[in-house]
Amino acid sequence: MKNYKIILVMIFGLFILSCDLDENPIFLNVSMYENPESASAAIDGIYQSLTTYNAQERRLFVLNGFSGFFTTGKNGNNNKNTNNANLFSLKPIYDADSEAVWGGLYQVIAQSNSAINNIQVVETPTTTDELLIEDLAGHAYFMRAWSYFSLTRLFGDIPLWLDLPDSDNLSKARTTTKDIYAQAIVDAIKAEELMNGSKGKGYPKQYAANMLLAKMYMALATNPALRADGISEADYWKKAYDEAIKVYRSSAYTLVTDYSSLFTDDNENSSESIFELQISQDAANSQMGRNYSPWKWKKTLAFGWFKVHADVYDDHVATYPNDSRIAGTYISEWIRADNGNTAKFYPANASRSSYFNANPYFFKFAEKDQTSTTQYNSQNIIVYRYAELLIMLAEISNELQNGEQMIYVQQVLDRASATPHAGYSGSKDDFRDAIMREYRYELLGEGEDSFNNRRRGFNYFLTNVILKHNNNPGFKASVDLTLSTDESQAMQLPVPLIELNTNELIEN
Amino acid sequence: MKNLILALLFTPMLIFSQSKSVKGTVLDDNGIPLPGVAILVKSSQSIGVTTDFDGNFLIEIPSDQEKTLVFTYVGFSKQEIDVSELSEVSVRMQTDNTQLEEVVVVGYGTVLKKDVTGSLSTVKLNDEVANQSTSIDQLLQGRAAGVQVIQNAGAPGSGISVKIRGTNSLRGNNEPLYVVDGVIISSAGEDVLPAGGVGNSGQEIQNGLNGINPRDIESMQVLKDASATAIYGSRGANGVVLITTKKGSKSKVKISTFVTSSIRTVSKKYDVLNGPTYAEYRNEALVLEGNNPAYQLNGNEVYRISYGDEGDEPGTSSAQPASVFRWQDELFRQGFSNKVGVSASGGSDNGDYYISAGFDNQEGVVKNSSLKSGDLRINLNQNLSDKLTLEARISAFFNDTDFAEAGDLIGANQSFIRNVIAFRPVISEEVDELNEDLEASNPYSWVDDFYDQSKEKRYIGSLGLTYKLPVKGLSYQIKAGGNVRTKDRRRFYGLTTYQGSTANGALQMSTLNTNSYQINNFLKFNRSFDNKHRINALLGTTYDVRKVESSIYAVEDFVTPEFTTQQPFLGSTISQPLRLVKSDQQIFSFLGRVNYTFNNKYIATVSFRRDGVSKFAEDNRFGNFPSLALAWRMENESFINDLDLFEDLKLRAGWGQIGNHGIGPYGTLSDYGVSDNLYGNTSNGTKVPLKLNNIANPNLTWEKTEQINFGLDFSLKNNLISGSVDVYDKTTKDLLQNSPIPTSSGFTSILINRGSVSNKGFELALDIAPISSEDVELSFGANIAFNKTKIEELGIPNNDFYINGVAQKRSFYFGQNISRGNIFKAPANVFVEGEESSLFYGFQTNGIYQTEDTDLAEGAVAGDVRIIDQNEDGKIDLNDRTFIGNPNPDFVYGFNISLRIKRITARLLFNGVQGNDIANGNLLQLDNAEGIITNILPNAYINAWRPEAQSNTHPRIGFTTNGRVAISDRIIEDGSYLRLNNMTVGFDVPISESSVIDKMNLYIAGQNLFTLTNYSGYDPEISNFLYTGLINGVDWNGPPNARTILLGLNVNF
Repeated sequence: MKNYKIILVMIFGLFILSCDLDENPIFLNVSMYENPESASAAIDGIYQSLTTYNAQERRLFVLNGFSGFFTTGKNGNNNKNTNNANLFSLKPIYDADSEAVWGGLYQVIAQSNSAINNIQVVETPTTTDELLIEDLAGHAYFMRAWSYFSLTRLFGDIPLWLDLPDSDNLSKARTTTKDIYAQAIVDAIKAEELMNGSKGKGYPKQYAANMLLAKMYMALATNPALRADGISEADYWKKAYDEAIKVYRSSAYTLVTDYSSLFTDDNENSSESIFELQISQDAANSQMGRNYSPWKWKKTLAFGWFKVHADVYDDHVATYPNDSRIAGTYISEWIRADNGNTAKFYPANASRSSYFNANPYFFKFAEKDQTSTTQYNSQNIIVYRYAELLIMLAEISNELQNGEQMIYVQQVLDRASATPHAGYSGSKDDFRDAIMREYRYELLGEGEDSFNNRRRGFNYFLTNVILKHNNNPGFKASVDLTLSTDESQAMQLPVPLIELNTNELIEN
Repeated sequence: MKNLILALLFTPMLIFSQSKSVKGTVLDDNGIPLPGVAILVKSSQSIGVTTDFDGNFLIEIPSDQEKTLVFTYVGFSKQEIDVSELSEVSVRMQTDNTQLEEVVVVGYGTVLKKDVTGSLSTVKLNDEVANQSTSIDQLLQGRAAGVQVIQNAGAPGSGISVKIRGTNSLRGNNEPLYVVDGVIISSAGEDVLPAGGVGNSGQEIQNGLNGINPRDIESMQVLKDASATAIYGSRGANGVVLITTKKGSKSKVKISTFVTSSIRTVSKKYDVLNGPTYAEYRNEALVLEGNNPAYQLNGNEVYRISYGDEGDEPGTSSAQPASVFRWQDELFRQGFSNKVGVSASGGSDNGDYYISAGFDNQEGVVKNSSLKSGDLRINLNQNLSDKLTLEARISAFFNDTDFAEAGDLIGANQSFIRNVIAFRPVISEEVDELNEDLEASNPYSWVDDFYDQSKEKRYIGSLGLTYKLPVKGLSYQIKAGGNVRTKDRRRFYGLTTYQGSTANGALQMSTLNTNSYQINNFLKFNRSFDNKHRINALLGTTYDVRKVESSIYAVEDFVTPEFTTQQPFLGSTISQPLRLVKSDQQIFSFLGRVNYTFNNKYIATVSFRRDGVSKFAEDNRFGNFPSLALAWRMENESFINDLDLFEDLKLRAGWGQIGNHGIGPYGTLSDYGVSDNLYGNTSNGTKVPLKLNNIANPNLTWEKTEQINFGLDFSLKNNLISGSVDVYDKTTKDLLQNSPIPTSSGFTSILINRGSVSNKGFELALDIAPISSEDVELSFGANIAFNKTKIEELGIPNNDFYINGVAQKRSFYFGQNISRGNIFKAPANVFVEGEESSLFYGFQTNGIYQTEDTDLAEGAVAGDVRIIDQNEDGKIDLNDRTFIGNPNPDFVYGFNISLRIKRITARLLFNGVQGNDIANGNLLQLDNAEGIITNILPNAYINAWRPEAQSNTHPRIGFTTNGRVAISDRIIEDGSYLRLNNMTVGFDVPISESSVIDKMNLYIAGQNLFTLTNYSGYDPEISNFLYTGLINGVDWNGPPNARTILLGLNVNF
């Protein structure tokens, strides 16, 4: 063997001294916020976070379940199943759905925090790119404010994260509800300043931030414990009015003619929409049609997780017998997609003989195409719409007694072909009760019932929702839920177990 | 050797003497003729011959000599045979396992067995056993002290776990490093990524070690202590399994063939309610809820009652009786399997070869569960010149599997196993009563309409050149080895499955493409000086690159389900766009080792390795891993030698530092990438959102394990009793953990170094060979290992932790929730500083609340399970949790018995685990009569609490633990077991000498013939959640194990 061969082998062996130990992953780093396109995609990431199963399907499940208006066959077709016995009866325990919503909304917050901390907005944006970047920052603030407002109304005192976690910063103690509101208001004001519409159609404008601010001020107006020092209830009603009226006066929104069309694929991002989540079958980002379409309504499995208490339905019909909103909100009779038979539930089947048939289904989130074969659907989720703003303005105006209240609510009623009921012509208190019920008739199941019912305190909730249901003449113990009358249970969800189990700074 | 030379010298002189002539043949223990065996006349010590190439000999014994012959050959036990009455003998030499010159494979080299200083277990295999096994983990079970193997034989190709000396890390994947002929295979826990299921679906883990064929394995060394594994540095902490494949020998061509056929059946079933009793249960539950009964019973026939849309009573009974099923009997069948293989080996003075090929066709215990594999191996060694030798190893493996039985792990009623056990046994046309979201998917749908198909290809190869340098004993070796593994896994849910019915057919496709290679450069020095000093040294570098690309893709809403997994194009909704996930790592290392022996008595081994790993940031990238071990061969000291008791007595002490970086790459970087789903646009199209997917931790560094080991190897004269004892103490610091963090952070976990655990243990391995004669051989082997894992530190601030109702300031964290739904929502395990790892934590219970009880906890009613109110505050909440069990075994053990009577051999292998608890999550629903439409255990119904018949064992009908915040001790069971792992009875068929066949061996074997256990579930060997680390000892829809009866034939030519 010649020596050169072994030398060759050794040279071959020695090449490894030049070996590489650096990592080259195929994902982006923080510099993506510098590029308007990828920064814009990151903002889509925030909105996408809000359409995850946890933050959308389960958020609405929890919100409606905890409103006192709904019942569910999820986990068993009886009024004693886990959901009905607890969350839906206003006796919340640590449950998987609330836990998911918690994580889902905090994920929205974390993505917003990443954007807020990394997007650089120039002082006076002029170019298209600069304006887009400014708008993107506004969206991040808006979503953070919206998420904290949503979370604190469900869970009370919660951790406040304004930065991203790192290995030395993994747990946060509870922040008081009052301080959460204070932060959310600061964020929403910032959002209003920054949002300029550059992101285009399908995204909220700065008016969504105004509406959010108005809602937060209304919440502070009705809850003395949350108010800042030296600011009175009337001040807050005034602040709420100032924000809401900006939206009204912008003339950016109008009511659509057909109420039911709001809950279809055909009328998405309508003139009424203020904040709407973009759902698409192709994006596979919503199973609302699967979860909330009535039983045997469509070809593939439909879970039909929402039914509305029969007495809530009865009350609506009794108040506005010819309300065009009824058909868009409830359903009790249809042709089954599997065998062509007719399925009948209350009131089409008046017997209320079993839990299964005792209540009408909630229809707004149902897949409207009965021939659909997919579990995903395309119907957008409207979070804020103009009709709600009008009702808010009516409520605020009544509190301020500025004489404008009927102007706003009349528009909503006109669309519904509903004649104002007697409450609207009574005292300030009567009007208040009337307008609080109007939220329900107009917006049932859309996500705000749970808050609207509680916003005026436990006693108001007890009198106007809980006892009304428990004591309604058609109440039947074998099929209906008995709602809790215990304030310590009914007003707030417990901070989820998964948080208690992992957060070193929160005790049970 | 000296005897042999003498024999050769004196042979010519013999022919002149008056003598007795004896002829014969000498065979090895496999029946292969042995050339070169020295045969001496005992009394002379100078008269002798050697066998020829065919193992034949002829010897003349002078008349004045004793007529006893002594047969000796290196590597075999000496034999003496009295030939006074014989003129012809056939001698079978037995391999001598204790032969002192035996060489043992250690990391990156070999040392003489007598010079070994570390703690290692050798697993030797015989063909009968190797041919029965499909993967190497099965061969380790019960055969080596301190090695715990978890696998499920019922599901071919399902996931496995091998743990050496306890839990080193809380991260989960504690799999040892596997090294096949010097090529590192680090794929034990590797699988394709889940492509995102439908609903709560989860993907079953599959075996990541496929492709290392047990049949080709010559021996396995399990390196256990740090002094032995430190040479593997940053990957040695979990122990190392060194696998050496066979090579040819310098004799005539040897051809071996084998065939096995086996039948596999489920070894245990759950006893659940039969149809009529279920119908009674259903009716009782419905009436209790204020509803109408659903069934009418007529003898053993069950009729469905329907009440019409208006719910009018009384209802009308169906004309036809409902169908009644025993689902476990329907679904579990006998699986038939066949396996064939052939190998050829041989060699000459210049080289040798070993070539083998095989085919394996295994059926699981349900209809569409199977594994088919084929493999090929070529091992070559060749002297290219007198200085340069080449060794080449190439193996190829192909594997097709379908549906490992658990099917789907996480979902409750969406899981196959859950469905088979608990699906309602009565099926009628009417489905109105059914829970709306769970009406589809009866157990048949899983075997008729679900596919989980994997195709895997694996190639392992290496090429080494060794050059003898001019300095005596010094050589240079370069070796390059690679491992290519590709896997394609597709899961399709047809329309009758729950998942498929919601999605109108759902297909998930995942691929894995792993390429790894290593280049080793070593200078090796191996030399003795003056018969007093012996040095075996190694110095070199290695570069190890591993490139992994995974892909996931999922599509739903099929135009037609006809082509199942074959045509994704037929699906119209892409629920998971094609996504590539890269996961590359590079390791560069310097390493060296010196093994020095003085006077055959005192041995020292020093090793050192410096690793640089790409996973860590530049400042933390390099780590040093030293080790030192000493051994004292006491049998060579006169004071021991004088006892004339020990053949071998060695005292060992070793210390070493090893590391572990068993995390994925890129943990130090922020991953801004695609999210799970797309976002919609205003025309119902899509937009690609970007998201921050993790929390970067630039401070990540090694997990460091320090271990001390003391051991004693002993062997009595005649090798009657031999064994070894080891005690060890190891501590792992800076544990790399995927720690659960508060979800309020927006994330669920972070990779972080924190905490430390210790393992202390004792191991004993013993071999006893009381009878060893030509006709009868009997031997026993036994091993036992005690290990205690303790969490020394967690690095989490103290917080209130409740034990027996009293708050203590402790550092702790909880394990992971078991299910994403409400049934087993709570974590089962808790990790508390100062305690053993992953203890069960939850509620203690004490029977059932009775009507007359007045001390009911808040919200409870008579008939509910009485949870002990630990802090006596009148309500049951999180503060009433306490320790309720321990999933860690006290000890694991194995023993074997081997008996040969003439041509019949019997081998029994038992293995067992003692003292561990199992949280049987299946009991949450099976053992409570929840009143819902799933089947339950008979006791839960029959002994249910009723006001008129108050039970203290089972709660009222309608009681549920759904959504409960903690588990209770009602699901904690003793998981101890003793299993007859394998029993093989073989028969050596007599072969005439003229036959072309050298040896024929027929055997029958039973695997998992019986298990002694009090565990009520399918199998106490829990293979759920193998690599999560945050869930331990939890049986959640775990599949049944299988009992296998196997018939095999080995034929050698």
